[in-house]
Amino acid sequence: MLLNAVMDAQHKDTDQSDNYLSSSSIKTEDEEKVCFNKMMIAVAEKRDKQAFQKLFEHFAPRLKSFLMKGGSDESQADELAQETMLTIWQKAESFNPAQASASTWIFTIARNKKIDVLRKIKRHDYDPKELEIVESSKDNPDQVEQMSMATQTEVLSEAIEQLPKEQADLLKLSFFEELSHNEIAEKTNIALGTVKSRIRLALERLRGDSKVKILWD
Amino acid sequence: MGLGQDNRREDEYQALMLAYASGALDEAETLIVSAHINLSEKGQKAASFYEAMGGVTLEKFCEPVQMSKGSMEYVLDRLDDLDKDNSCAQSESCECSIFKDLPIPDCLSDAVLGQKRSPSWKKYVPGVEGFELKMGCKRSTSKARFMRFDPAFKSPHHSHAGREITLVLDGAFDDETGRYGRGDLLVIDNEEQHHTPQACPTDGCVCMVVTNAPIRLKGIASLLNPFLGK
Repeated sequence: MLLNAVMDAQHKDTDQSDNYLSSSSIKTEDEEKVCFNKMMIAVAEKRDKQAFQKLFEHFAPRLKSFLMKGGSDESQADELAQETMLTIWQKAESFNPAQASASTWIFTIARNKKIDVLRKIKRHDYDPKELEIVESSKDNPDQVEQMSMATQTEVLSEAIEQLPKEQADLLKLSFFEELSHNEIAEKTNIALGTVKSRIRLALERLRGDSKVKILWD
Repeated sequence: MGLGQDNRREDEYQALMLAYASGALDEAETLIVSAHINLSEKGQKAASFYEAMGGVTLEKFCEPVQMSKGSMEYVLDRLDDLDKDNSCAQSESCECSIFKDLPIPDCLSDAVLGQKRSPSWKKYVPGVEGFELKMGCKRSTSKARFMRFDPAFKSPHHSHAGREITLVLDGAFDDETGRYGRGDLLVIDNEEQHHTPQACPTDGCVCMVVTNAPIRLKGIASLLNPFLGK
């Protein structure tokens, strides 16, 4: 349903589709999520700079924080966050709200940028357009699956927060520093076997979480 | 064998997909997982799941840090120029003839076409051909190979010092835990004693294999060692 709302918004007249830019109304977090998706679509389809600016204001400082947690110094993090935002502008067309929320998509752009720059390799990523498999949503136009994209962040972050701290910390570390299990073990002085089993337990728990299950299975 | 082994493989698989999403894999490993995602619904789901976790990390666990002064203006100023540069420099996709009629994901054909010396199938032992895919990044510690097994070829018992990732591109193979077909990804870690895969009796098997440590073969099979490990 939320996704439909997003899609509909593109086809309505400008008055309505620009509503997300009004800062007067107070929005719940969920509405905000949908807004980011709408902004992404406005950037992709209309090259809407105002929407892009809103995305910048929200995401650039988080990207900077994300990069600094991963060990970048402040000026490097500034620069990489800017580069990531520029790539978001360039690649906006490949954003698909049925596949990922704006924050997830932006995370993948930042991750790839970081790998490009820090390791000087080109990441061969999969292109969703090239997928050989049939999109399951086409056979089953169930709204639940589509709605999930706007709420997945909430459900997943709650589930992560409910993990024992030592498990949640290792998961976060995996993302901040893109560390392998071996590297995490070295860095934290936790035995490799313990790192592996904590992450395994965390993943099992997350995937077994009833709410997460509904969204992902 | 049996369930314990199945579970361990599933754990290794999930850990690999998490590492993929977080960006922890090296070039060869990233390539094989990308190809898997292209061919498998399970792979696509797992990647979306862990990437969403990355999105949550960014959204929820990164308290905003103010950008340096003028950075937004700098970025906004460059947008129009970016659009000008974007004038469709689309590269023509070339045919990757080494796989003949077998459709393979673009990321793999790009990697094969990008090789400095165009690869060709080499006979490893009777019934097995293969070639190595050189990685551009010197820091990539894993080795990537394509291998082609004749129908019913039975691989010798082997154990693993590191991690071996196998993606089936054509045909299938069976081992102690079941059958693996096109798009399936098998991850075997260093703790697993050995496995004895056998290529499908009618179609044989074409796969991509990424290893990050030498494979140890036993007995007569150690003849394969020069090709598989180093």
